[in-house]
Amino acid sequence: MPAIRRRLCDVITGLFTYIAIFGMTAVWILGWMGLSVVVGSFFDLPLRTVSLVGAILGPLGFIVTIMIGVLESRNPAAAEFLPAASTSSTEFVDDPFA
Amino acid sequence: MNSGQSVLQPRLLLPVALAVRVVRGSAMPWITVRTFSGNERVYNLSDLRGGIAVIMTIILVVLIGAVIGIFKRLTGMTIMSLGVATLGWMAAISGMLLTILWSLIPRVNVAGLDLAKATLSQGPGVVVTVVASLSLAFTVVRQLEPFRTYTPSTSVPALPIAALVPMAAIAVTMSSEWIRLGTEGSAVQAQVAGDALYGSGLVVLGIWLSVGLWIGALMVNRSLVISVASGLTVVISLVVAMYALFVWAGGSLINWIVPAKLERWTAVSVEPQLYIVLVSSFLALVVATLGFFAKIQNLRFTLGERAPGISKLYYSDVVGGVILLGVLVSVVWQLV
Repeated sequence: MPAIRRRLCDVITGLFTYIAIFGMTAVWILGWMGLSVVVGSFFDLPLRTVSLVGAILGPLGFIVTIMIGVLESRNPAAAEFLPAASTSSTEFVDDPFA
Repeated sequence: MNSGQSVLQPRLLLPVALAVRVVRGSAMPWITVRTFSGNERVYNLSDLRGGIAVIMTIILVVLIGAVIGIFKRLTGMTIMSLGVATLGWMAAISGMLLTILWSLIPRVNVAGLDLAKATLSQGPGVVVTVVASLSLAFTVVRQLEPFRTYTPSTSVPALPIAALVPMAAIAVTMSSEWIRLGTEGSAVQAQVAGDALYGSGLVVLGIWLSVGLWIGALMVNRSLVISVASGLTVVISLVVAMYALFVWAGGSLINWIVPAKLERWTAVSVEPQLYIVLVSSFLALVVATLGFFAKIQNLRFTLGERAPGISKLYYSDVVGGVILLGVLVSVVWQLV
């Protein structure tokens, strides 16, 4: 009986650990997603994009959203010195790091 | 799927390779505990009760994403990225939380281990897991509007690569031994890692943010991103260099940053990793300072235009193949 009880305790501990790990990570992901959505909506960025950026990049996504928001709100003609990506249909063919 | 569609979609090998790399990272050490008896113990997610179930769940999510990715590439990549991001954040949160706790509160017991007689560090698994999951995340993000407008398609920016090399070296060597302390006439010795020093937990947090921003600058290549990454890297590399210099200088300075309980150690030997950190932080400082200049920001490796159908070899497939080969080698190395 003690062996069965110990085994049961192990299973329950494992279950709680599983829930705790995913719960903690879900709170982290959803929290940063929410913050990115708030900042993204301030800059009028697409909701789908900022949600995904916040969810998968976390705090980095929050920073990147602010930077893209600033870039988007600038005048495109005067803003950047670097060439924008090709808009041709072969864009992904030459895409470094896809 | 016809050939026209496949030309318009990103390749699947690199995302799959990065996801495999993340899963492989979960089997590598996440936390290293170095006891003052000279022993070193490593832990990863599979050591936790329920840890194997967590890894299996993420593998299942990645497999579902890979299958969906065959038909709908971006959706599949997003599912894979969300799965591995979960694992990446687990590694980052657990590692950072423990090292921050340890570096700020020296006398704390974790899981029955007397940390007053041990030091705690992030393991190499955290580096592998976080870097691979962030890379996969950015390969997804760069396909989305308006990010697509800012991503280079026929060139690779040189500066982020030049900055990532020393930053990755700092991230790895911060968790390895910087000094070895011993007592005269006794075999007892302590290995002190860079991230076991007071306040270094927050520095590790900054290092990760800097690495992430440079990966971001590689994918979203704009002056603003590079300038922010450069600014953070200058601060971080200066702080790391100061830590390394203080430890290297030894003498009375060492007692200011090493926990007071170590004061009875009499023999101090500096490890080669400390010199790697010193050189890397100097290089990172130089590269980040150069990053404020527009001419340097604009340096890039041009890969050239190719029309579809001329060559079947894709750059992303080559990078994915190299990553998969690396995973295979590390698995074989561990088995041997």
